Amino acid sequence: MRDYVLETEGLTKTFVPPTGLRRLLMRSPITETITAVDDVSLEVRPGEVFGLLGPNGAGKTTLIKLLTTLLQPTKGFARVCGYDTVYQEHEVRRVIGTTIGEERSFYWRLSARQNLEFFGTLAAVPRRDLGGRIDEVLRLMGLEDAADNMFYSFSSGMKQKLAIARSLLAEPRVLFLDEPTKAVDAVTANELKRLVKEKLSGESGRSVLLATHRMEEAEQLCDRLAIIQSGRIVFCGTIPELRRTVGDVEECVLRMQGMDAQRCRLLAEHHRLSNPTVERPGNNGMVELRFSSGHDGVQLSNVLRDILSAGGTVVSVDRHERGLEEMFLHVVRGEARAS
Amino acid sequence: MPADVVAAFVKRDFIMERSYRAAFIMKFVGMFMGVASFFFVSRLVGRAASPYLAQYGGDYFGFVLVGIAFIGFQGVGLGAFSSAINAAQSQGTLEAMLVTPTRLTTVVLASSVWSFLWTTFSIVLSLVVGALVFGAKLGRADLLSSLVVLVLTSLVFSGIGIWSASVIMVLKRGDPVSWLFGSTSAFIGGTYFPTTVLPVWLQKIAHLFPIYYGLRAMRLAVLRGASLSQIRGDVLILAAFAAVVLPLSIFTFRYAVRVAKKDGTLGAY
Repeated sequence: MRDYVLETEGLTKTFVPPTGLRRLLMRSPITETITAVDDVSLEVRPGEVFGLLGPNGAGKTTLIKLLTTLLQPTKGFARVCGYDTVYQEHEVRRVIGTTIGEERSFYWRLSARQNLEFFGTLAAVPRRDLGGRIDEVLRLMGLEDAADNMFYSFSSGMKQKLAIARSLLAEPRVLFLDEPTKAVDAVTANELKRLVKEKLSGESGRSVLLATHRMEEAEQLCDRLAIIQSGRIVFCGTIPELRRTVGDVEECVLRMQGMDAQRCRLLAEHHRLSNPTVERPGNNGMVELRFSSGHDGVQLSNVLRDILSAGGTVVSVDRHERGLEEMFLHVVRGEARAS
Repeated sequence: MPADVVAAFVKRDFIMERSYRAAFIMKFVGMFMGVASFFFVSRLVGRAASPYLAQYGGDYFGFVLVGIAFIGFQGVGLGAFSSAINAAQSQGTLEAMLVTPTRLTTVVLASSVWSFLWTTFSIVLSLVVGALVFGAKLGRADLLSSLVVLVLTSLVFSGIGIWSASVIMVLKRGDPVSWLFGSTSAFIGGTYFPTTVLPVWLQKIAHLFPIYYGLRAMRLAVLRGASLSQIRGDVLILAAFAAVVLPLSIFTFRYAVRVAKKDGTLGAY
């Protein structure tokens, strides 16, 4: 059996609206039974950056809360470094670091160092090591010059960095990053991504579970990823595997003159093009034909030959591979249609 | 409870308290004004109250000074735990604490230590001001008896306070436990007047509240210098209250945490 730092099997979380006296005493945001995480089984290997992608409300944060012991599952189980998240929650918390990006999760009238001293003590960092660890994580995040400034004077990017610094204090074996680049500018986002890749996972050998909306972030950082939709994992694997799953195709865009739209449609039909669209982008007689095609270029060559033999002029040919975002949308929409 | 965790909470609260300097100073001024007000009320009441206060030495100022000091302890015992949870939920720091290996029970207990320390300090200060500035007769106080009563009463109030925190954990606001004890104890327990002036049926109800025994024992210890053996009846009743309330409240609190984790409302407010 392979050793995983994180594994779940049939993990399910269902929220039910309160009943009886509790319903009478408190209005709940839950008015009907919701399955936020549905039969999730996944594994994360030592040292890998594992992405968790999904649209808003897909269940990413609920899954992270289940894995970090903040929630109890309704069914199934989760283990972190071999510890059960329900029966050994204390042990689980000793091996994880969690970046709660919420800026309210710090004391605004305490300095960065004082905040880290407080949370470091709670994280069971030995007293003799705490000062050194704080200096180390502040240096790692580039916050050493702001260490004694009150938290409320920090910018959004600095707050986010401090949240990551806090999660590293106890040198966790598994790091949970929930939307680490949310609400930060492009420069800070790039800096954070470099940190995750080089310092938080690469050199340290730590496993990172990264929940994100940002496809380019997942593409740059993740060794493997899971796409979650309506609480269910609809894909789990590497990006090349995702590419194979959604079809090894690229998108072709041909711009031409001397061909009308109707002839283009007939051409698309004749060559049985996949997902063809025909548009007239302006009034200059230009026609644009888009379609999905295989990498070998045979179909594209045939189409080009027929355009030229029909008297048309090809103005431009653009080919591009599907990005993660397109593949993600393909999987998510496909799943939505299926359900 | 680990000492370094307690120290971390106390340091956190002290830094935050000190950072609001005006409020810090105003608390002292408010305390002084409170003691002064009761001093002048006692001059107004004068000897008229003496027959009702005979067992406590007959002086209304000393009587009420111990009463208000004691009700302060009840307030912190009842409110400190639920306030700690409520504040952490609304500040957003609760989940950040709960992903650490420190247990929630420890977080809640350690969060309230500053409130107990601060209240003890203000109470001692108000008694000192009452004695030195306004001449309250506290010189006969039996320190051991006072301390035992204070500790036992704090344990009972803390137990009720943890109950209250359990309700807050689930319902977020509107906790009937502290409302019941907070609003009725000062009246029925005899903070501002001896319970002997109440109708007989109300005096009987007063016997159900721990503050009745705590206040009576504390006043006898502070104002009459009563030894532990002289107030052993009240001390035993307080110990019995503590022995029942504390384990029950910790059990209830753990149950409330499980409910909140199941509902997904641990950090909600």
